[in-house]
Amino acid sequence: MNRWLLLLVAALFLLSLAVGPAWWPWRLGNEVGWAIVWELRLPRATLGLLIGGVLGLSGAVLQGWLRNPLAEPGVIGVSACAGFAAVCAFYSGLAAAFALALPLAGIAGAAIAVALLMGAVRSGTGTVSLLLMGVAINAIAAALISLVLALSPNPFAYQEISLWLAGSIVDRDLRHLAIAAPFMVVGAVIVLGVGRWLDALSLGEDTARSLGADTKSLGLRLTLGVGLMVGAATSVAGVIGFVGLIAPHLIRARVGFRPGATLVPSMLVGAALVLGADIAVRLLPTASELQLGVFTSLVGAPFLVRAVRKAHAAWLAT
Amino acid sequence: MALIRSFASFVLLLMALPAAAQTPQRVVTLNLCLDQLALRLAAPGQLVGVSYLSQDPRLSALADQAAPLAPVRDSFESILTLRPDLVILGQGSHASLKRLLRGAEVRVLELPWATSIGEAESVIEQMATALGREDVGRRLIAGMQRERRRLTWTGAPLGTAVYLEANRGTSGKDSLMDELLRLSGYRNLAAELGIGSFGRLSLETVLAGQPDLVVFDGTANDNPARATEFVGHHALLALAGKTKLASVPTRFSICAGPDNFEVMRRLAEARP
Repeated sequence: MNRWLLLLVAALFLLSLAVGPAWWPWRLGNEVGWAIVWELRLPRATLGLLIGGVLGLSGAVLQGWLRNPLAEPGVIGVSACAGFAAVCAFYSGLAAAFALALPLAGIAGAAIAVALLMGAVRSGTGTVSLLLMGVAINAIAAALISLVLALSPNPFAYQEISLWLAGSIVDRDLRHLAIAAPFMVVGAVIVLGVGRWLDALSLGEDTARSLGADTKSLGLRLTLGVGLMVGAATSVAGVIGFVGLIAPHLIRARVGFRPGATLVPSMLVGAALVLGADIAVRLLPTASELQLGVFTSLVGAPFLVRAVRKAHAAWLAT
Repeated sequence: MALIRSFASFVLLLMALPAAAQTPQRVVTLNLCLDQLALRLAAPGQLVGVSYLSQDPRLSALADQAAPLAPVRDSFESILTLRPDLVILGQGSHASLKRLLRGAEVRVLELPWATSIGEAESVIEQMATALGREDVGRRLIAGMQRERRRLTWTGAPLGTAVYLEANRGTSGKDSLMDELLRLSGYRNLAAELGIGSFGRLSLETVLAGQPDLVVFDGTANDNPARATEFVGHHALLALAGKTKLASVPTRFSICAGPDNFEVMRRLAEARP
């Protein structure tokens, strides 16, 4: 399955390089044509690939770790916290003076949110409570983002709340790619090795410990990994919701419901989803380009509804 | 004796009142572009309040002159506390405010929104008449016409130019920037792509159009926002070898009027 997914991602990546208002820019046959591909489309396609990949992977990791099919960085508020921290760094001018402040702030925001949620889960929070905590965190983060934007002296800043709450990778350039990509890759490497322990965790924390899992260091490792991935992704693109929810759900049944086995396919499905969505928003004949996050929410929210109903049915059955 | 004299001057002042009603003594203007003209036309002390935007140096070329005046937001109360005898505002705006002002028997003058230098001259004429400053208005218009003749490019066509604004905005056909680009010797790429007075243009379309000149406010992103982040975009900088980049601060191009010649001067400096 992974091979087919890889082919799909590769095809979508190439398509992403070819789609845009200027269509085949190499027909211009000069440095302007190359500038369009190199400076505009390549950063956009690569960011779509990486952001989709890490969001899908984060969703799979969070769902396995929290043993909760609704866990997803956007739904439980991790992305929104990353967004708030990134907004602080960006609009204060800190990121203009020191470029790495943007991803670092996003990473800190995401890691703090994950740690807080973990604390809540340890003290025994159920599936629905986690979702409600996410609702609360999302509301607070959105309000704080709005406040920070209102404080900016740039007259356009205040209208940008939607850009942060429903992300977009329009007009991102190589600088954004350069500051965010390394963190996303490192985060992915950190969490890709935990599949075995996620499988063990699905049998319960005590069983996992008896199988040799060091749940404390595993928790730290996952907090750091998800923080790096979601924080860096959100700091350059804003919140792109539901990718982390859809991706694991699409493949869970195909890998025999083993959380560890969902990691790599979820990453590939996530990349395909975001690349596909970013191509779709460019092709849709809307008056102004639809934001990527709006599109993923449109596609993803029905998944959440379905997952909630399933979880509810399972809860009734116990 | 002093008392009698001051009483006499008070009586004289009362007698002069009908004439004073013709020439407003306390004027408030309520829109950035009308402020800019009133600041040039009004007699010292005649203008008591301008819109708060006129004190913002990014938007207002006369922020220093506006600084000592009362900044007005569009609220009836803040206007009334200035006790104006004439309020100048834009045609078709502030409908409820106009009703309230007329109810309070404050004279209201509505002036059109100028989108070309010619229209600005007509607004200047009307405002100068309302302020009783016809001679100042005439001098201002004569100066503008002189500047316009001096700065209009009469050589061979210089190619295409495009103006980039926040949020992928651009100025197309029948816009002020279109007129300024044409007077400066360029064809407006946005207008040729069929864009109206205001429209959107992706960076990719800008690059693909291969303009000879790209005009934008290089200071727009000094306080960062995603809307203005294009200012330092790699793709734009990559054009720099082939294409001229000209920075024109928004305060000179936002309103039609005498400040537009600063735009033309900057475009002339960027000429190949």
